[in-house]
Amino acid sequence: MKCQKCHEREATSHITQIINGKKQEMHLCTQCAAESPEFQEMKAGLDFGIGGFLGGIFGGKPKTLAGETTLQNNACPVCGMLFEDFLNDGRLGCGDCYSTFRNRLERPLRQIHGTCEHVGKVPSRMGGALKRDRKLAKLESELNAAVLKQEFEKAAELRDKIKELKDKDDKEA
Amino acid sequence: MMWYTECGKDGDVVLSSRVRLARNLKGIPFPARADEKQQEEVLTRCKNAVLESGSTLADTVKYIDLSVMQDYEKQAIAERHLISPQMMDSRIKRGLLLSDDNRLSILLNEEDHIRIQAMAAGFDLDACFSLADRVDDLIEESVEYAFDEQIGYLTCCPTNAGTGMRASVMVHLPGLTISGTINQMIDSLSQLGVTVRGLFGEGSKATGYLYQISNQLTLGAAEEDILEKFKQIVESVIGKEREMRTRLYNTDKYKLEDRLMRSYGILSHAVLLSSEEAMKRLSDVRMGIELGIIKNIKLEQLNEVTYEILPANIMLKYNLPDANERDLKRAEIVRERMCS
Repeated sequence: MKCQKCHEREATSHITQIINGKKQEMHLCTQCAAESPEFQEMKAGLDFGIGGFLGGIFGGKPKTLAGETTLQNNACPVCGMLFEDFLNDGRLGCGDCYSTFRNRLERPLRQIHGTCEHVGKVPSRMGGALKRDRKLAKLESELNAAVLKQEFEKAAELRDKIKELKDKDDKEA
Repeated sequence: MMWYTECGKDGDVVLSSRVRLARNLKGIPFPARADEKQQEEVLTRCKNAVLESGSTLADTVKYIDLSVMQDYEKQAIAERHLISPQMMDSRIKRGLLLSDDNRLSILLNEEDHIRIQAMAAGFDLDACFSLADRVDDLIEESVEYAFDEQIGYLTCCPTNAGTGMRASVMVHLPGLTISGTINQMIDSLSQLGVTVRGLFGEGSKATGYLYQISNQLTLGAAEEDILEKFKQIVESVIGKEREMRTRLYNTDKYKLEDRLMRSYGILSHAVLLSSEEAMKRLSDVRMGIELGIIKNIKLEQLNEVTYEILPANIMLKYNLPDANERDLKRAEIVRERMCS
């Protein structure tokens, strides 16, 4: 059966309504059903988006930290978001929310990604130091891997690169 | 020819590859919490960061204001995967920077201020990443990103934080679907931090056996390492799909041939075609070409017609708001392509 609204997709949702003793049937596809007022009403207040599930992970019992009297006082200074808003839809309001709610975000970030230490790209304007540290750490981990695999030629190359990078640091310092 | 009609590396399984980087401007609330003025500011600053950069890229990119477009026009761009369905919502001021070859599309004010998307035909995530990375550097020359030394790039949804990078491939998996092994694979891959979802259908029931596979973890590993691991997983999916197709073919050659040729027959002669039926039949013909059973059509032709017949794309080109008229037009287009 085709959807009564778009006439394109298969109808998968079948709604029977009895209004004033009159029976009314509707056959809609999933997409049109999602937009229909009947279904909107039915799912009101229930969030099936990512937020609806993140709340579960992120929620728990919010820890009240020292100096944090009530949760209401803890709105993000840039966008005004409360941590409760975040629990509702799983989305943050601005970049500064990450520092405002850092203590409460760390655990959930670990639960999602298994860690909360970024080791990837760094914006070039973040300054050279951070970038160099990251590069150094990366080279060192590559060196360890090469040694483990007994790839000594590669290891020697990496060792030279690390030395070069460190020497450059010393010179600049 | 656009990337979505080309047939690239491993094109018998992988239709296209994409790398997306999520970025936000420092000090401005994310689009959903920004006021109109702030939304405008994001659009202007990002637009200028690219168009006035003086780089060679600037000459090949055009700015498109989504707020002045009709819904079906936006839908047509979304059907070609150049914008996400989320960009359709007009309550937020949104814009798009699109390169002439459509390989690069920068979504402005989607869930994040900036979403750099780089796309390529076939299995070519390296090309996508290197383009997205270059564009990221270019934009960063003139704007300051929301970035945290510990957490990395800050995004609206914490599931994107860190690298902000999502890599994905669009794949055709009739072998794994028909043999019923796909669900087990979806479960296994999810444990490896990789998501599989149907492309033109709901949930794991994909219309036309087309799926999108993407990485879930964005934090804790460098971009190159995330990509490398993801590429290895996709490679093993490609291997399993090819193996399963061969096994299906060897088990009951005539039954499979019959099924694929019947679809070919229907597409060559049908008078009315719904988009759902067209997708299913085209998938069969695709499999026929991939197995070497159908020889007079090329995958490129098939890719082209697959996008051409999507509802909003027909609407846009032929101005047919009525679904029945579109079914008639769709059948006509497909017949022409199948017989040429």
